Amino acid sequence: MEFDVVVVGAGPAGSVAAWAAAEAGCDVLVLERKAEVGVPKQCAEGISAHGLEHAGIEPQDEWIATEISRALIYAPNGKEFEVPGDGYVLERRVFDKWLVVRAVEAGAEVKLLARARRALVDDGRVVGVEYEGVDGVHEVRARVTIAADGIESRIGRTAGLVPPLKPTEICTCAQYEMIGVDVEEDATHFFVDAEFFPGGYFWIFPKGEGRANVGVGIRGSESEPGDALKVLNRALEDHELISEAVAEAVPVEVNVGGVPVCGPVGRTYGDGILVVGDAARQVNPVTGGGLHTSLVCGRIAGEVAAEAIEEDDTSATFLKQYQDQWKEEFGRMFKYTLKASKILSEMSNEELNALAEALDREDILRLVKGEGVVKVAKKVIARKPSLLKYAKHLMK
Amino acid sequence: MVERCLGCAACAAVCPKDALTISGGKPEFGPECDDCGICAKVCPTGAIEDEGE
Repeated sequence: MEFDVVVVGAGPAGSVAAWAAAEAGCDVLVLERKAEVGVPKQCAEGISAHGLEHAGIEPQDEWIATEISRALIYAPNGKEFEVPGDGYVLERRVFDKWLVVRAVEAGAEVKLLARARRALVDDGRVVGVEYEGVDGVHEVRARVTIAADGIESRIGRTAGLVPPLKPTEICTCAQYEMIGVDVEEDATHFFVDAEFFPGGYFWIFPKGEGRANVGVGIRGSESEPGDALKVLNRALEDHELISEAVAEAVPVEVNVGGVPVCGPVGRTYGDGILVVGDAARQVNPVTGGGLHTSLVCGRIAGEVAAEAIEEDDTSATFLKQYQDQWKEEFGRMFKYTLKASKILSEMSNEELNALAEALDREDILRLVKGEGVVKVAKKVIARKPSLLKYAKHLMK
Repeated sequence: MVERCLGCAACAAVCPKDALTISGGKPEFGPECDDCGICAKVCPTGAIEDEGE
């Protein structure tokens, strides 16, 4: 089999890449390991309105569970911050399928239960992938391979672009979708507590009528086997604010997963290959959110792959445009959110409470978006000199 | 271990030896595995802990 583009993984990054490449006239094959696109979900399903717009995707009723107008962030001492911002909690199983259907309608082919095992490398250049399907092992040759194969990224790894994650670079996560959750449903809720949720946070993302994603991520380096699920259960019982919100709630789904929080890999392109989405670690290290970045980077990857084929130049030199373009969109955000994430993960509850006193909601927004971070650092130093050692890191 | 593994691949993502792959929704350990235990540490459900026992 030979294609212009083979996309490995039909998550949001892969499907958008396939969609863009197929729309530009390429012959595209998408390989998906699972039996069903979008299932199981490994995501709290939130995205900002800006994120969707940035990705050029018109919101559709069929995959929007609920609309959000603000985030509520709770410091360890319970102090609450309201950060305004429009967004959505999605129904990922519907959203992911909707995206792959766009790719198919644009002309892409999809193969399910097809597990890509390794990149085919010929004289240093990726020329396709080997995959295991229901009927045995096959090779697919392609002029451009797009590795959108998630946190594990066999393809990115075997192409030599994706190193293993260190335990400090991953958050291990567990989540229930619950019914009967009692929270304000026009807000996403973030609970910060260094003792309860080391190196991460707890979230409640409402999906309407009492349904919500209720989950936690903790830093891999702070985790012992099974801790994500244990911490989730413990918080539902013992955390003052959370236990109150879920007192009557019942889980109807369990989701688990790892989230890369180290910022993007150094090189997301090579001869004949692009790496995108979780595989490329294009995830905001403060929020762990990767939908917005994956959708935008996926589109850029698909477009650059199509141009490369049009120009008959799929060398690393040409494909570097992909990295230049996504850095243009997110480079600064990744740089500052990575710093902020490292600092937040090192703070004690006392320090987090002090930080909460020093900041207002605009400052929090700056930290989350990685904009105007130096300004925030100066303010922290002026108001809470005890936090100087952390604030200094932000200013570098 | 099978009951608790949900196939999320966090284990495979941290394996420093590239010895772990997800196959049929479950982890599969290759000969390169030197029992360092990093995979078990990040497993959200504790499925790999069971395997070692």
